[in-house]
Amino acid sequence: MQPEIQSICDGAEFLNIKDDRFKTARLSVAMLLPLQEQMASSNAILPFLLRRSCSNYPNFTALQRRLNELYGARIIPNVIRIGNGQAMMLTAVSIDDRFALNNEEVAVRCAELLCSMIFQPVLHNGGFPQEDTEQEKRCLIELIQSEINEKRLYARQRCEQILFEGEGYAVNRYGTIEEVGRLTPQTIAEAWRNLLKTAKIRIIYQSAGNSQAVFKTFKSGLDTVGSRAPVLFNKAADWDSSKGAKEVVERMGVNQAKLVMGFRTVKTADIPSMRLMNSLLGGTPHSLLFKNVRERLGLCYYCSSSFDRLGKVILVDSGVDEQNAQKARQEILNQLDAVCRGEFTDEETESARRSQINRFRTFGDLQSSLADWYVGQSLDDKTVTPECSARELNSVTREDIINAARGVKYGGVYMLAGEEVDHVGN
Amino acid sequence: MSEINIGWKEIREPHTGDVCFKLAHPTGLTIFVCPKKGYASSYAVFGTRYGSIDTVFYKDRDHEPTHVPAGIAHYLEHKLFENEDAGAFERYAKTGASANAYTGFDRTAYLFTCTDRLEESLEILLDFVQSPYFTEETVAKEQGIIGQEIRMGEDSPSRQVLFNLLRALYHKHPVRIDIAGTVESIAKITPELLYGCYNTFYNLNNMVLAVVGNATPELVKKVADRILKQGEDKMVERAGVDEPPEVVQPRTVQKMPVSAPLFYLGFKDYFPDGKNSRTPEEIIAAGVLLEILAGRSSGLYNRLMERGLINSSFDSDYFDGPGYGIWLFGGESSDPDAVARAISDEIERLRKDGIPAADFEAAHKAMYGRQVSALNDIENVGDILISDFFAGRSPFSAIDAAAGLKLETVERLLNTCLLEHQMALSIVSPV
Repeated sequence: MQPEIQSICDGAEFLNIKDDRFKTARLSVAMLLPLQEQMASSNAILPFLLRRSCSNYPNFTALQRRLNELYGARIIPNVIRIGNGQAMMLTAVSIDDRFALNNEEVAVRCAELLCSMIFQPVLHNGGFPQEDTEQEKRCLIELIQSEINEKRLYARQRCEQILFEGEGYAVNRYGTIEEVGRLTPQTIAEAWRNLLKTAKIRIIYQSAGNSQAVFKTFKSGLDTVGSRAPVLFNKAADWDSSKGAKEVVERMGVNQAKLVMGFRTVKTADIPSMRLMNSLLGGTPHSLLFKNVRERLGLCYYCSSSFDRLGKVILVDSGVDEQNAQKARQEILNQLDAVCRGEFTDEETESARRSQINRFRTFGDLQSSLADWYVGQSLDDKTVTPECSARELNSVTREDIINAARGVKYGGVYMLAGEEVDHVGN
Repeated sequence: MSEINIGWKEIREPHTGDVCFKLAHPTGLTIFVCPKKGYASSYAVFGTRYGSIDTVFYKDRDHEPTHVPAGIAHYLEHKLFENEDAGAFERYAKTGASANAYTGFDRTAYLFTCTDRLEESLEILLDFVQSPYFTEETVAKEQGIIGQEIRMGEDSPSRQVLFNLLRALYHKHPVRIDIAGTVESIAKITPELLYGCYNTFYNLNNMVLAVVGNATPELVKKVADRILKQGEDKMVERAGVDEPPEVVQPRTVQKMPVSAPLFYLGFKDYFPDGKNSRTPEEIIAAGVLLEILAGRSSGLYNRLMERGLINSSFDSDYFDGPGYGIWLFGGESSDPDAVARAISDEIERLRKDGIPAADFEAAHKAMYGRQVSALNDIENVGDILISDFFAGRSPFSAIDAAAGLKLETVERLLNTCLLEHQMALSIVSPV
């Protein structure tokens, strides 16, 4: 189902997906700015501060109470990276009006609340309230600090930082603890004004009802901003492989080592070919990596690859016993080489193709997946449906896959290993 | 309910209009099909009432209980993916389905999602789960992979803080044992033990199949008729546990590489009158009570945030299964003991002052909304159907319970649960 796309104003668009299959209405607002070290923290704190209040409900408790009255509607603040962009996200999810016990209007009321949070937050003397600011600064610092807790995600993040050192892609989406510490109610308010003036804005509304009231609400909100000057985003360039591969081992009290290998493109193939190549290599439980590194050699509990088309990068991550890290690493490289040499069967290609098509086709059946799909295209010139991307996979040939594999080069490895073992797996 | 077809019963959820069909298949298997108009995908889940807590059980009316090593249900789940001729993943590769499986405390479930060739994928699912093949060699090979999985779990602070709490709360109930077992316990697993457990728990009378989405009862029945094997109606009974109401220890701490202390505060639930679980209405009431006590609109949440004692990771939940129930509060905090004291004080205050009607109304509406929203996606619907079946509840019982909830039920729980002597605090603190 193709979304209906309406321009609200310069650099801001509204995607309406009318769909009566779901129990909820979902409104996603993505506001994108280039991901830059000096501004990352002041932007990142905004979704968390904005969800605390609005003109009619000036404090967090009153606002949460109102959301409960709206059948437990949720406002979800988030910051994600989209290529070299930093997307400040606020998402409202409420039940659809059809399921209200007393025929109340729920979805539109919830959309109005979200709009008011973004455009009419409570400000004191031109800045965000001091106490709210201090609470959210503390929470953001704790969020950055806690990234170390889940080791698999942490290792992936470290690998990206190593691969993309000095590039926007390596900047933490939340910025740094030091930068957050320096924020004031006034500097954050300044960042908020800048966000509304210069961000590329994509609003996605998924509901069974009429979207025009929601469109108008946001149009009025944006009208209060005055003239906008949306920023331009640079597309990621192919990698200059002469810089050489980087290797980093860090030690911490862990039982299982996390090995993450990064591969960057030196010559980008078309996206469908890269997607299919990644699926064949490590995107499924019947991929080459799963079958060989985990099942045949029993070297790890998980070993899979993922492709980010905007960063033009493939990450292969695995959880291994440190003693097996060197073997696992070699086997991962062997499997990529095998794809480059065309050493895979037609059956393996077709399995990878079917899995990837299946994956894309399921997105439309889950509101959150479909919203993520369209948010992920915020910086693209053209918006495509998951069905369209699924169809594109049908024309990818064996040669396309080989060429895609030949266009990626090993860029580096990061390993998080335990402290007690004497030898190094590298 | 009305007859639509021979054997199928139609079940309609009155508030949302969702419809599912139920069939008692002649092989003993209970089947649910929930067709969803306009969906491209289908989700199928085939589960057995057999999980990590089933380490002691009575089979075939034996007088003596059978004891098996911890982690065996999970081990069996891994090994069932390998049949004699081909692995299940290789078979699914031919249909494009995305397949997986999980082992919980009280169940093991095998599942897939597909947008094409449902009939073939369903055939694979029903066939491989019914075709065990274990040899010394294949069983030995899995020790390494599961060993890695256990080590990965040991590195997860969120998992450790939960299991440490379960061990602090429960003396005997096997919910205190990690689902994957330990490296030592899985070393005792042999092909004979796996076959023994398989034959006991994977009989179709002990199992359920749910298919949701782009599916029809006719197609599911056609595959079931062709693939399901008639088995004997074996009896298996979970061994009861004489679990005392008191906790094992009120506080437990583990050091791990984390940025700040993580905690779970748990109140052990005690089921009166020899009951094994709470009713759907009580479970909904528990969620409402937690929302009133510690939800984001509560005074407690606001005070803890102001004092810098919690952050947005703070949450609460009622977590239950056969013979166990826990009121959970958890998150990250610089001072978990202070959070525990504040929660305890707030429970006392609420008991003394009573629940304001407006607070109940708002939390009640929120809970109803959450239950309705849970039917949004096909995987959730499938999991709700099998959970209700294993718990002996009617399908979608939670929505009706949420719509009709009374303040008195919430007050009764407030006055009889969340007791100080049933409380334990688990902390994972930085090294």
